[in-house]
Amino acid sequence: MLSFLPPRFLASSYAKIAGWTLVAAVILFPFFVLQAVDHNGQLSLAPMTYRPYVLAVLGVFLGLCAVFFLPAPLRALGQSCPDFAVSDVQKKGLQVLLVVGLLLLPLVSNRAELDLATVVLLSVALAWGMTIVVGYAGLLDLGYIAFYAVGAYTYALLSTDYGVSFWVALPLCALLPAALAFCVGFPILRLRGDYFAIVTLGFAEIVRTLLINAQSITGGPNGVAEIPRPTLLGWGAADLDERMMMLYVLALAWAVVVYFVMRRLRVLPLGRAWEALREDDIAARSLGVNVHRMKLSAHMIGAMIAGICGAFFAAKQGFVSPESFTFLDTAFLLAMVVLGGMGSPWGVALAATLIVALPEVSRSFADYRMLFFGMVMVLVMIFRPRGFATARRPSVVYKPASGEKTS
Amino acid sequence: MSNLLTVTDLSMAFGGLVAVDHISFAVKLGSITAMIGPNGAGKTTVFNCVTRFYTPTSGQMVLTPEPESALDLHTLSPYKVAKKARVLRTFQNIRLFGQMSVLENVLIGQHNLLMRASSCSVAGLLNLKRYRTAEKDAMDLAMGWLEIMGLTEDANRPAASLPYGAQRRLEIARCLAGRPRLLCLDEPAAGLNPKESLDLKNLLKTLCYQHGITIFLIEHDMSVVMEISDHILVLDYGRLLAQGTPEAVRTHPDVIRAYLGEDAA
Repeated sequence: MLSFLPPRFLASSYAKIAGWTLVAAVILFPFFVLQAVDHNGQLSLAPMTYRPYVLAVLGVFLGLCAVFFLPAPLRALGQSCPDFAVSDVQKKGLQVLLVVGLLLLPLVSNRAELDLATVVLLSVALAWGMTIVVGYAGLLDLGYIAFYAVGAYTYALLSTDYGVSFWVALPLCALLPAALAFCVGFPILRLRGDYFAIVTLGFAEIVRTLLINAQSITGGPNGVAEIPRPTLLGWGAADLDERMMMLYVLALAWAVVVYFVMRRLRVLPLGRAWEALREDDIAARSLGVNVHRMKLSAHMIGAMIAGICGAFFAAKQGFVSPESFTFLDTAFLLAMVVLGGMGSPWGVALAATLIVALPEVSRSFADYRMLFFGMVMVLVMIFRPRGFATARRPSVVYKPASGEKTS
Repeated sequence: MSNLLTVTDLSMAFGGLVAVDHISFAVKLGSITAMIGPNGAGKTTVFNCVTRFYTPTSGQMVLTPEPESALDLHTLSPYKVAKKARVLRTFQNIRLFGQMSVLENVLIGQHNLLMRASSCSVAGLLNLKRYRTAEKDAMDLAMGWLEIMGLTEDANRPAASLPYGAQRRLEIARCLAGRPRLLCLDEPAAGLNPKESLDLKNLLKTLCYQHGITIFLIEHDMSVVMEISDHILVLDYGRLLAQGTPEAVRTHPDVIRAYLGEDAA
């Protein structure tokens, strides 16, 4: 097909770079440029905005250039950079330091910073929820954002239409996405990898389209505004500063809860079964693991976490609209999980922080978010194809000396 | 000895291809039964039917662990064959959970027991004593089998990093942790060196005669088959060519014809 090109060019790095950039350009095109939006009650294509698309493709191009033209010693350096392996004691210390630091943060930061920190914490919790589904159970759920959307809308509609308080609505914000995950997951979790990904992708689009079109219930593209802000035993109602503080503390508490649940689940039989079916579901089945039920449980637990994150999101923003739950958001979430290293909470937290916070920290940088993003993705896939943190820690360790185990 | 597994008139057809053609046989409780035959004879298909990875076209498969209780394998879904009937199997091309540690692999073998102990994760999340005790017991059992397999040192290594022979042993240990009534081994000696092959023979004898585990295996290595089997089934083109003691099978004219050709018989 390309035989009209000189063979020397075809064999060169230039051809590879051009080829892969072209592939990226084709793959990214529908996601960035062709966006369906509501147009006076009818679905139509969004006005073409090429800027993020062009930047993302340019980022891939630059990343590829860096890979192919980086001097060999530099490339070797990248590949041999050490794992983020720290001892247990160091880890405990770091965790305590981190939480103390995060608790002290509201005292030193201004309103905007606190707001950003809240967003980061919610994103980290959401990415951790997705880690259970994608990282542990190995289910490529491209519609994860839909459960986040359902959680957010559940609280938004219950509070504005029926005056239900945040804390009463919260369990429903977990149960409804979980029920939905059950209904969707029950038939499709029998499908193998790629098919599952496609169906969930479609499911997320259905949810978003539904939110746009069910105008009488969801407010359509205008979304739901003036969502009541929660209070914690009367705290958080006084003024904006106090409310921000309270939301931050709530987000922090929620992130800590998600962290402990996911860590604990991983070392339980349930988590081990998830990893086993990710590794080889036929072998897992031959050992008596109810593969379908295990997949369903991962899917539902992930949905619950996403739902509650969504409720916090709605409560923090005071406004939700279908805009916040596009495929691009799932893609960013997936990037956090993959960049972080499948299944590593700290790697995922680091990636989530970088992806969410960097564009905010520097506004001028936000324009180049896509550029940066494409570049980083290529570099990470070349140098650390398994993500930032790659060392998998076994869920149980046999210690020969005492014969005791630790989790 | 009573029959543990009774297979009657088993057939498995893939469209027009009949892989297994009306086979009947029995596996006696506490014995070693081997299934041999040329490549493509349908041996693994029989295994896949017994473990319900395939649904047979026709025939009955009944497991009788105790004289009064009989389990119809036909009615069980695949995971329940392992969970309820406790028919556990290994695979011709080893299927381990490669990224997981050796010990974790063996713990997956006790999945259902541990799931129950953790009350579907509730007791586990709260780290109740009940769960901790069960986990400790499961660890001890797992380490016990790993010791018999000579894998104690490797307990914390990723399973995929083990040498080939050790991976075969780990796959057996993983099944043993599930307290099998019937252990189905699909070519356990494939790819082993003579020393490992000898160890395997001794291991299988130990499992059968000391631990009372009924073993049903597919094997090509005749030195293994002839030495340890109590009963041998010979399959060819999906049909049961002959069955009997090693001696009877070795001298059976049809078997010699299938293996060595028309003239030899």
